Amino acid sequence: MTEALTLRDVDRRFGGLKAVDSVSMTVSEGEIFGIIGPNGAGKTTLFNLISGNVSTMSGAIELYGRRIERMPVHRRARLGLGRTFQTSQLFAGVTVHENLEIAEVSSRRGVGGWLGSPTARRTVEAERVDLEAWDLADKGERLAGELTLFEQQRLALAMTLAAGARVLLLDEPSGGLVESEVHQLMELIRGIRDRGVTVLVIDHKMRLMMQLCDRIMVMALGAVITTGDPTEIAADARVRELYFGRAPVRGVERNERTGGPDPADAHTWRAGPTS
Amino acid sequence: MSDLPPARNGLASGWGPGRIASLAVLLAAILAPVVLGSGYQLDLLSLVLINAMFLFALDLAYGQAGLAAVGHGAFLGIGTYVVGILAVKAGWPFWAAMPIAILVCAAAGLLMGLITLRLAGHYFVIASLALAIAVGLVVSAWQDLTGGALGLGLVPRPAGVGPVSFEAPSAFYWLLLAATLLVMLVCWSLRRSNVGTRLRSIRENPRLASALGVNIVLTRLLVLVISAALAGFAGAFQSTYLGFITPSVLASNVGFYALMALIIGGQRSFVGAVIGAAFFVLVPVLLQFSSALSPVFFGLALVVVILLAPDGVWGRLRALGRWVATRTRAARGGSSARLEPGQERSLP
Repeated sequence: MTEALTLRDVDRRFGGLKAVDSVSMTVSEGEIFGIIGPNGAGKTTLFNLISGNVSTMSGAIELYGRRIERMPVHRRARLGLGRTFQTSQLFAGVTVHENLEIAEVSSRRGVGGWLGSPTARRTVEAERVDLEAWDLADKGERLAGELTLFEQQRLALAMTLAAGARVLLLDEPSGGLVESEVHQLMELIRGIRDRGVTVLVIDHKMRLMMQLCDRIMVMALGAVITTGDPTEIAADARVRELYFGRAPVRGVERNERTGGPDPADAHTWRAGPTS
Repeated sequence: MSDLPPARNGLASGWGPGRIASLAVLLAAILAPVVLGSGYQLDLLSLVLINAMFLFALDLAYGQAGLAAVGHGAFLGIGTYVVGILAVKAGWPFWAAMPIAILVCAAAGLLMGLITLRLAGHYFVIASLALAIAVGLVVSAWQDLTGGALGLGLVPRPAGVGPVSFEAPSAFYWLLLAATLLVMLVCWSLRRSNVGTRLRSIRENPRLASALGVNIVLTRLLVLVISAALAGFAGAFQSTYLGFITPSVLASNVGFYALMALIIGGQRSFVGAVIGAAFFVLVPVLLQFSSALSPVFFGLALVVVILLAPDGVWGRLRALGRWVATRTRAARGGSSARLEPGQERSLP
């Protein structure tokens, strides 16, 4: 399977603090790859290193085999690296339609990409289909800042795809969403993967991560503890100790009697950063 | 497709108060020589047009790209001097010297951009001001070329094209008006292009713009170069308008006053820039009995506008026009003419 994203021995220190400590990982094309860990584990810093918002001190990052660790943020984006942020980031003062237009224009190249008109290539029909696909069809002329949190999340996802993302970094996409919205979000992310986009996701909602991800990497204090599929992660003693300490919670004891934690019950994990 | 809302921008969006006002201003500008004759008032209007060109250029850098280019007056001054030097020292006709002024200013803008555009916020402002001061000092000191403090003259009017001569004040005024419309067209095209869309994204949220693939430094550099070139174009006309050039055209406060005038008139709007240019030209004239009063008046006007009309005088007038239109529709349509989301709900 094609490797979409590869990190080799990536390091980042802030003063005396090792925020990311020799992290190596490989994400295959079309995979949904989760990253979990307690607060301060280095998850968002790792995303910032991949997207270029923070520079690496050593190590290599490859996007589809191409070294990107020295490239600025916009060049990585043009190579197909998209990301959303913990706090919803949109062009709040312009309409939904214009947000999508900006995202689409951002990906254009060459002289036409600079001097052409934003509406020259994007047809009204294409715009309508896009908005319907994201359940924003009746919101086209609303200011993005006036949307609900979930609508903003959907628009942010639509924008990354409009900008041509092939590898997508989602930082806390379920933050602030209610249970039913989290379920819809999960379906949307699966839909994005089905379009051939590789997804890396950080989230504190363990049920979402266990049900959504093909593989999960666990981090603590900047280092990788383990990587595996959700069942392996739920059963890993180091992960349980990381999350529960030495005193396991009742829900996990029950699951251990039945042959190890059931990923579907992972929301019963109470310790650590789960919510 | 019919259920889609109409485009907000573009020619299809109807005749709003902005478009009607623009057309009224244009008609008044065309008829001005007929009404005013060829006297002092037309002379002042010619100066307003030159400064309108400059403010259109400045608006690209400040209003569109968010660059507080307080030293932008340097490009206007460079354009003025390039044409002056080529015309007086080398005997070049205006039409040959003007493109050189544009190229020199574009090159100066490129150089400045390469040096300063990685600087953020205040540092860019300081660098821009330093450029203006440096250019002024060089021009004053290089007496052989520029005439130093004694100035340079006389710069002739542009040669006529075919049977049309630009010697008469009214003909020169119409030439300036055509040049102003040309600058406006360039700025309008740029704002409507993908560059304009990228600039909007940088203004709104630079972090997100970058994450979507917008090269912020290159976009701003391109706009700074175009803006400097257009300022040089305005400077070329200033040169032939003044006839006699002194280093005062390169005073470091020119950029400051122009920026204040743009904010007072209204950014990201051609009408706003014209209002700003009129303010820029007419306030010193109206307060000429005391030169100390002019900066005081500029400062006070800026404070009042920032507090009461952050979008400038034109922004306020437009909001008022929308409010009146909404009320009128509501009065005509009764309960069926409800306010749409986002429309003005209170007196602007």
